Amino acid sequence: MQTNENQPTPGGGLVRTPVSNRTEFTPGAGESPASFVLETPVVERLTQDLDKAVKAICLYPPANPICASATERFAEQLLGALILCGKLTLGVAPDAFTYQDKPLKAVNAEGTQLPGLCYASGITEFCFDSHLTSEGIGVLLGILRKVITRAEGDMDLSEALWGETIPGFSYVKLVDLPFTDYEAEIRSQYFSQQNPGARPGSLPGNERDPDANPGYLSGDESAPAFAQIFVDESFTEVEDPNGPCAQSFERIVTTLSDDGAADDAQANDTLGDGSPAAPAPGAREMLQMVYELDEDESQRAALALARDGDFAAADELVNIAGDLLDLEEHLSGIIDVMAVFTRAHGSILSSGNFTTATRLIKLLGAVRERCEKNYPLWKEKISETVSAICSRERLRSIIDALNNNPNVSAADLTTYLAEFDWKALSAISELLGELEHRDHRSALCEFLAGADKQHVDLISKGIYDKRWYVVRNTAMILANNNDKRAHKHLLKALEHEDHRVRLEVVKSAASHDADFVRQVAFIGVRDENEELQNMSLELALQQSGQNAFELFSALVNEIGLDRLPPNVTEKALLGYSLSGKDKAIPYLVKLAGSWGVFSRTLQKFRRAAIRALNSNPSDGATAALKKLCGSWNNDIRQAAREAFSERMSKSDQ
Amino acid sequence: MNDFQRQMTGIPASGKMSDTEFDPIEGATLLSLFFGLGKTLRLVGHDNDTFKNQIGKFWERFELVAEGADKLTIKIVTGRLFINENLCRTALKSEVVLEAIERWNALAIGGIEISFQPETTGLATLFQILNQTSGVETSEEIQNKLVRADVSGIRLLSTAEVEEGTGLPEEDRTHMRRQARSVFFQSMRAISESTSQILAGREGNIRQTKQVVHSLVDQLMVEDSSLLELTAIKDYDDYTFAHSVNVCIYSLAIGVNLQMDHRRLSQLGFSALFHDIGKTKLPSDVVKKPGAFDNEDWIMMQRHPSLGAKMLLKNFPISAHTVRGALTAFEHHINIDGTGYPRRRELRGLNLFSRIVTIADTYDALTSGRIYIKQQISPIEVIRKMFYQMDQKFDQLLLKVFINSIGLFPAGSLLLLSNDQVAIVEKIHPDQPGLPVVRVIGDRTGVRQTAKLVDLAAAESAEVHIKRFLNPQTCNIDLKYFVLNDLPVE
Repeated sequence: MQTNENQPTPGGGLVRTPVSNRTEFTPGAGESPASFVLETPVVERLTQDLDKAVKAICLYPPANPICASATERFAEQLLGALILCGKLTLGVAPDAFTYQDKPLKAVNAEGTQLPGLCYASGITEFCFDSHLTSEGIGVLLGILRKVITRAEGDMDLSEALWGETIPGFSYVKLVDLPFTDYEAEIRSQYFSQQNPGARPGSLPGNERDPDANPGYLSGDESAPAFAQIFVDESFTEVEDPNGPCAQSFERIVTTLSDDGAADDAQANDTLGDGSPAAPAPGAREMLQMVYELDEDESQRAALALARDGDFAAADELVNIAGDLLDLEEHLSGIIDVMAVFTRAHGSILSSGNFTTATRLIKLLGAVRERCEKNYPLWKEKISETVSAICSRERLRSIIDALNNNPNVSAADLTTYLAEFDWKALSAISELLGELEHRDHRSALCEFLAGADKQHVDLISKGIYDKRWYVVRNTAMILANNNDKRAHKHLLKALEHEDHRVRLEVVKSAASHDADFVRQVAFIGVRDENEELQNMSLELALQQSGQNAFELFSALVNEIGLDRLPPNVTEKALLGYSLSGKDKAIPYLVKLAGSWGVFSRTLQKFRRAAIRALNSNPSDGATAALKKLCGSWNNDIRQAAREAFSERMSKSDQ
Repeated sequence: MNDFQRQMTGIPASGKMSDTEFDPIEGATLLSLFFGLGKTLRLVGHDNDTFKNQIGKFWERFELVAEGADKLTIKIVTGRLFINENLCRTALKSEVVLEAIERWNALAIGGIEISFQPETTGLATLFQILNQTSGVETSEEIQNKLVRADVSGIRLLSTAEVEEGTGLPEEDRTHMRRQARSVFFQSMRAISESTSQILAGREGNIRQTKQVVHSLVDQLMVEDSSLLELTAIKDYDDYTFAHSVNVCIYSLAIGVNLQMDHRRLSQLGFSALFHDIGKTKLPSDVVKKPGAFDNEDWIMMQRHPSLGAKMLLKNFPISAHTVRGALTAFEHHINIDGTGYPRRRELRGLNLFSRIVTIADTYDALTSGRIYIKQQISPIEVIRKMFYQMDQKFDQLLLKVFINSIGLFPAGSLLLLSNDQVAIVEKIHPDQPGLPVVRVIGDRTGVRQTAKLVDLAAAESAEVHIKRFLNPQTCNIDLKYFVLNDLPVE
């Protein structure tokens, strides 16, 4: 428990107020020596150890060895230092701990920013003394962890420390309000100089001068006001017709010191029904009944307290916001409540509670529906609020909520996003470039892919984003959206300088119509990136039979083999052969058998054509190879024989 | 203690207590260690190392708390623990201590005087005797057993011996009262400043508000009577903020009695402090209307809960404090049976804080005579009304806890005693609610120059009882003069 040393400060302003279980170390009075003064580097290392320990306990579960070793190290060092010096006082500045008024170096620039955290809560000094134990250090670190990780909401450090008992540890904090010198100030501030309820001059200060005291302090027996006391009946209890219980209780008040049964019996006569009533309980029993909690009541009280422990602030916030909205009768009130909703939403979201945030928006939706007919202006206001919640301007809060809370589930995120109408899609699609956690990104992509196809254009803005990953994600979404209106954006993405974007388009183009696949494949096979070329050919191969053949025919015929990258040519011919089967043979035979001056450009594809024929499972291909084995051209003959022999051995197996 | 020990520990030979401030935390630890000895002894026996270690720790702590003195007294006065004359309320959180108090009460032991003698035998013998003692033995008989066992430096005090006087010496009482006044008016200032900020469209200072709530809780935990006494003053020029602070104090008293943790007490105090903030948005001529409210006034007044909730949610950073506060502001006129205002679309159970604040609010409103019923009613009549006439409105269990916290004769009440003396209730005895300690300020001869403390529970006051409450207004007694000033006590 903290005990505030209340110092009247006539000047007001900020005062340093010692708080908590502060124990002044008196040299020689305790069991620790006090003459030893720690050197600054030693204290510096201590604060660095503290920093490391705090960092460790915030990052790792308590059972983790890193956590345990960092905590132990700090405790060991600090307790060791306290054995030497008896007491250690650390100052707290906004950006550093201080020792003997000099700032101490932090472990690194990205420390826990512990001094800032302490300073923000008004703490200006930490004191450790020789009564500190390792258990106490554990409690202190636990509190720091709670505050830093916001395990209990937005509690600040001084609030978290308030009420904790850590022997050997104390702190000093700034107090915003000085304890006033009430004697001088309060009277003028809170009371009239002439109190209407008392005679003039009845408000003396602290003076003990009898002349300055009010008349009734003078001992004057004849003072009329004081005599009034003995005739004043204003508080005399009046009989109440509200039943025997009330009257019995009333009698307790007036006969509190009388236990006698006779009095009680007499009291029963006053119950009013004239009949001999059951004797009223004795005064003290009655008092006991009212006053003390029996075992059952104590249990109920404990239960009420336990139930209250489950208080869910976010849910209650939604409830109260809903109550406020229900009660409003004027548009101005609705505007006010909408401000509450917006703040509430921001707060709920910042804690990563997307389920409750969804509930809040659903609530607004329900009210908006109720306003549909009779209150169009109200409906408009509510719609504006919902739109504003997911507007570009407020996007940061959603981004931070997701990035700071990796545990938000994909389902919660998509349910939340689904509460917004198509106007929010543009802002939502901007999240693509901001989310740090993979699960969130994929949930978002899934959500956008499933979004209304009517609004492809809103989502497609991402294709023109400067960040490659935004373009890639948008491409993936548009590709999954499987709508023709997305094609032009996807083809644009295929021109993106980053190959990962182009790959994404090719990868996800398979489900689209043949025409689009053909366009993608045409561009893809000619891409400088080999992976993309291969993937484009794969894409072509994945098409159904006739489509695939047509696509390869087009590649071979329309683009021309010599315009394809050399490593793609063979695969293109292979794909042509596999997809065309018999239909592919004439062209492959022609290509394999090409010779002479006029077909010089084709000659470099002869071997590739022969290998493509070899991979063709049709009988026509076998016959064609056989024929090529008899070619007069040595090169053709040799390649054809090798292929034929390989084919035969495969068929034998 | 010999000279060598003194030199080693630095304790002065005089043995007088130093002027250094008493630390309740250290005190609580000492008490836990002391009363824990009995339990440890029962479990392990006096030769066990654990027991010996515990005794060692006790003596270490003894030195620290005694601050150089070689003697220390532990007293149990009306269920409260004192080390020397310092109240040590925190110790009551310990089960070991509570058990021991119960046992000591049964044996009519009111306290113990212990001299510094860091060895194990004396204390071991004491607890052995106490553990074996049946309920029929008196503290004197137990003391005799100690003497027969050659135990020196330990003297048991009987309940009667300890409860002579009122437990707190006048100096400490004056200090407590001064501190309570300071905290009380600091709270008034804090809520008034926050309200002004909010009305000016700025954000309320939540840190400042929490600080004053924490100070109120700390004060209540150490000594509640001084704060409760201040709630009896009802004639402020502007009662609005005093009412809020009063409600806060009453609510916190319930919370402390329910053994709420600090975090919830902080939230409860905040909620209670701002429960009526919505009224600041209403025309002041309606809020402060001297006569009865007409229909229109009522309609307007019924808006203050929702206005308050909105103000809190709009003007404070949203946190558990603000949500609790808004909920309490919204619900504090909804009765436990669902009646009251504002009306909700769907009935929901009332939040615990709302149920607490409703009781505190109604009590303060009725005793002040400023709101709803424009006539001041005595505390006991208010309690009676709340308990029997308005039983559908309040959580009866919490109402009991409330009565338990403030007593039937709350501190600050003006009383006429059966011997025609006029007195102000100083504090209540937890176990004898009908017989408080009072400060006699006058009699038929007039008001006294000095006050006299009378414990109505004490044997010498057996003939005196409370005749009735007095209304300070109609008796023309300026209660705040007596509450805000420290009249010399005889």
